[in-house]
Amino acid sequence: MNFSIYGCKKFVVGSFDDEAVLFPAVKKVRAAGYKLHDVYTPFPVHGLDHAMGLRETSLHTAGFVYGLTGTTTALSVMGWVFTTDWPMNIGGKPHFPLPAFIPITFELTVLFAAVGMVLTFCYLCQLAPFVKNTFSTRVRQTICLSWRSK
Amino acid sequence: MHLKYESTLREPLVDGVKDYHQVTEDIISPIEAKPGKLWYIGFFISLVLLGFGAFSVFWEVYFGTGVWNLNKTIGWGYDITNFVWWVGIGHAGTLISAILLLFRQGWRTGVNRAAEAMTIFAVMCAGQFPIFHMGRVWMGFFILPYPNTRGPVWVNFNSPLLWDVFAISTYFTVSLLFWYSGLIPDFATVRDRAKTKLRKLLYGVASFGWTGSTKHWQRHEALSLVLAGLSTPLVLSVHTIVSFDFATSVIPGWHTTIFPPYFVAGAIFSGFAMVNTLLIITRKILGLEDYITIGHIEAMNKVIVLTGSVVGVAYLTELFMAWYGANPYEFDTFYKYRAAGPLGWSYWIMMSCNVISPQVFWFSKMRRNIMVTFVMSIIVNIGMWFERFVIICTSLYRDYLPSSWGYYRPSWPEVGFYVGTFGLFFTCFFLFAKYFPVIAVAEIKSVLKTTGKSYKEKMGKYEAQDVDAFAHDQAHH
Amino acid sequence: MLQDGIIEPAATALGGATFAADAAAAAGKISTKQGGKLELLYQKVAIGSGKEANNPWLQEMPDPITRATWDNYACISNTLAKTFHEELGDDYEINADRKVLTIKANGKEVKLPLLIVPGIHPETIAIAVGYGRGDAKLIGKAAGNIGKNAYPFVSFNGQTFDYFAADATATATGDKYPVGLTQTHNSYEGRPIVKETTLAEFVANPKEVNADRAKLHHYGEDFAHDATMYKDVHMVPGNGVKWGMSIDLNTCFGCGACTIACQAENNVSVVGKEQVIKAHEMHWLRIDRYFAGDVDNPEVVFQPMLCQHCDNAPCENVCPVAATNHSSEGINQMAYNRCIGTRYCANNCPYKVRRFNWRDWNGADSFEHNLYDVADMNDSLTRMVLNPDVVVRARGTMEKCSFCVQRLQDAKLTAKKQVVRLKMVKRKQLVNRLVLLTLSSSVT
Ligand code: SF4
Ligand code: SF4
Repeated sequence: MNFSIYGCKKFVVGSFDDEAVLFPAVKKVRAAGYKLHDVYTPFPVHGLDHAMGLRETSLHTAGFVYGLTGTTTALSVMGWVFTTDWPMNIGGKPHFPLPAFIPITFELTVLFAAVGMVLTFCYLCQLAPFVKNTFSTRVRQTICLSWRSK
Repeated sequence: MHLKYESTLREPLVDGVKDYHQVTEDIISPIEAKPGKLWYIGFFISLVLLGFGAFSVFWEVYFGTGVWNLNKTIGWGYDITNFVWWVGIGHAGTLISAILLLFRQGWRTGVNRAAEAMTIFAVMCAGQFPIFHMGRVWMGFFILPYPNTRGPVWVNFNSPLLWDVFAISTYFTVSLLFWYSGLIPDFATVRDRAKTKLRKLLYGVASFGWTGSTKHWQRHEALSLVLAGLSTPLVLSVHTIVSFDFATSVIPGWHTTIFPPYFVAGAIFSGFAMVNTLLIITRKILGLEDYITIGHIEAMNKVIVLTGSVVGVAYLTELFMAWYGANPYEFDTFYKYRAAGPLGWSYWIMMSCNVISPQVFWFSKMRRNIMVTFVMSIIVNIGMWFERFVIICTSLYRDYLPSSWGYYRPSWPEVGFYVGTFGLFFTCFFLFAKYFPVIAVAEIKSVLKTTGKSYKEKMGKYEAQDVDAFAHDQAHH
Repeated sequence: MLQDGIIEPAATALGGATFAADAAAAAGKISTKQGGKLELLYQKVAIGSGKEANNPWLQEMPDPITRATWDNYACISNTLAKTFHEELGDDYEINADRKVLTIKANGKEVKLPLLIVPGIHPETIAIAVGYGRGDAKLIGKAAGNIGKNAYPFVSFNGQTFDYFAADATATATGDKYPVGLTQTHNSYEGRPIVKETTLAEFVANPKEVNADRAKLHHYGEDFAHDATMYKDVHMVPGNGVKWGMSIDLNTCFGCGACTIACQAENNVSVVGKEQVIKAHEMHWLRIDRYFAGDVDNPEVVFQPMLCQHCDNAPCENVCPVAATNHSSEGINQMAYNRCIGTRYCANNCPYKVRRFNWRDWNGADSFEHNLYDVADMNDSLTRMVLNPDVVVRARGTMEKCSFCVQRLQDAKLTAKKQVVRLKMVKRKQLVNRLVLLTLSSSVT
């Protein structure tokens, strides 16, 4: 298929049945100097991102930062509540009983990291309920090279 | 770089002759077909149970916790027993998806989706108990630390029950995110195949507009890996924290440092048993024997015999420490009132179901026998229920002051509540089996060529190849 | 020998009628009578001749020896119980249903459940009078339809009334009837819960009672201070008042008056027999009764048990909403309206003194038509017994002994007013004063 949208740009769409055919095609298209817009696959094809020359995602780093936020939030809120805002004598424990704070600190670290990463992922990939994106609309909009299962 | 080859010595994970299209057909078409008669019957029974459970809970909330047979001595009985039991069951899913993903256990792909669903439903069931065991559920929001004008009044961050609130809700949230992020691409597959308008719309909404772009896949993989990394300590922490409910208290039989590992092992044990129960039924009803193979079931049985033995060692250690620790109260609890005494029968049910019977799985014949596995999976779950009952009730009913010793038998609303959570669980599971891809289509496809039976048979040329040449080929794929 | 606790109140309280014999003399009579049992009638401490039967507090007050509420029954010995195939043990403890006996004497008969009371004479059956007063409509909700009337057994010997019958027989009916006991286990199992010794032994070797504390020495000089992880961060000496209560176990003879006093002061609810059977009774202050020594001739010890206001209270650590915590005066306090009713604190209380509002006993709940009121304690007249200084607790909340915090506060305020007037009371004196004032205010 060969059709153009946005006037000047030309897109070529190809459809492949198997990754064994796709990989050489990706290599050749790139070698021939064409810009590869994207490859759509129904399952993760390992190594395709490298073959296409995509850079590594930094979602991990974001996750780490979110996690740290969780840790600090937990410790500082619990510490503030028990030592400053409303100190109480509970079972004669110290006002900052660190061992007792560890479970919640850990849980919040995980929670913040997980929720933060998923939201970032959805934002980056523009995923949300009611986002319309079927194969045909994708092709009509921007697609250049694709491969789908039947 | 993903290895395109796996030793033929390893059992195939997908049986039969399949190509990508056939995989999609096999897994997605049950969603598109009308459900069978069995499904309707099962779903109806689940709804009835759920209704009865709701009525039992209403009865308790309206007339007070006194309609339960808990008392001044035994403040927790069926409620917290069931809570811990369900939470334990809810461990297998995340364990399979997270820990086995980190350990690169390929066999998880066939079962992880259903196991994760089971986790989520089990945690939903578990959550009902701490909520409705409260004397004043309508004041339950007090448990959340929110800024308020009452003083300000905060929660008690020292309380293991509060840790539980955080642990269970975090676990539920993260499991849900993990599960759903895996479902998105598969929903997109259903959407792309959809013939009816309604299906297109609904699965369109559910798939969040997933395209399958390589960049998205790359992020998706990164997300899955990090979520798996986070879930691994999380899943271990959840039952650890649940065990803190007991371990940090002062009651003999509860106050033991062995609880965290012992609880985690028990959770995996019961969780895998429950996965077996469900998968044996699911593969039969949906005809997915090629994807959930005997190999899968055997792998889980191996985990069952391992964790069952760990639990057995924990039981013996407890007994040893009760004697060696020279604490007379603990000694009495274990030797006089747990292994004997009016509730002693529960201890021996626990022992025989959890420690003795799983030993049959040392034999490969037994591990690969569907009927044996099914019966064992149910026995294990009965045993694990009694483990929690034993820990909670046989510690409480005869503790420090003999003047307060008591006894406990559940009343009908307590049993009804428990039965109701089965209703909730199976209602959810039936809906899941009908409307969700019960096997991760995308993941199966990505391992199909290495582990599919028909592909493995063609591996002869690699087997014959020289190692260096093979490595070279792979590197320049 | 009959236990003193049973006989004595009867002997002293039965005003006009002279109680013809002490148990030994009565037992002497039996030996001459083959086969017959001695049937003794007695008055319960709480109900008396029956004139207190309509008081729900007293109906629910556990009998000092049997710990039974809301009923009369036939007290028999271990030995006699064996003839009915009943004995103390796990089965007896965990089931409230008791075998019903037909007791015949003087040509009268009554059917009553048996209760085993260790130490009672093997040939004696003891029955409390004052029960079986008839229909609730006639006699009142608390006393109505409770127990059986034992007065028909009383005979007139020409000069006085005999509150015993020497030719009684007892036969099993095959029926069962539930009796609400607040304590089912009788032995303290050799645990150092109560320490007993005789005066002579104590005088000879006063250190022996606490000899077991030697075991604690490896924790340090002073167990209370050296064995804790938390170095007294909250209990700085000289930092105001610190409340405590001492109970003289030598003097306590288990009458239970304090249980009722506490119930009246603190608006403690009455729950009724059904709920006592379910172990839902609410007493903040209970009397634990243990039998020790020989099964057939045991010693009896009483131990009033209430919240100990532990310094490092295990109940406080586990409450998720901090509804129970420590006051600066050393009191373990409950914020009832903060409590969400997880019962975790009750599980973790080693003394098991926390009491949960299992039902709506007193109309303090916001749900309609779920009041659980066995004895008309909630109409506008009877509610006037409620102490306005103490809140009533809603269903689903935990409660327990507060050390009568309302009285402590009152005493402190009174003291404060006086201190202001005198303008010169040193702290130490102030503390002494407070103690005195508390005492006097509790007397007033
Ligand atoms: S402490 Fe209580 S039971 Fe003991 S004698 Fe005093 S009032 Fe009676
Ligand atoms: S309720 Fe129990 S644990 Fe809490 S302070 Fe009182 S006696 Fe101690």
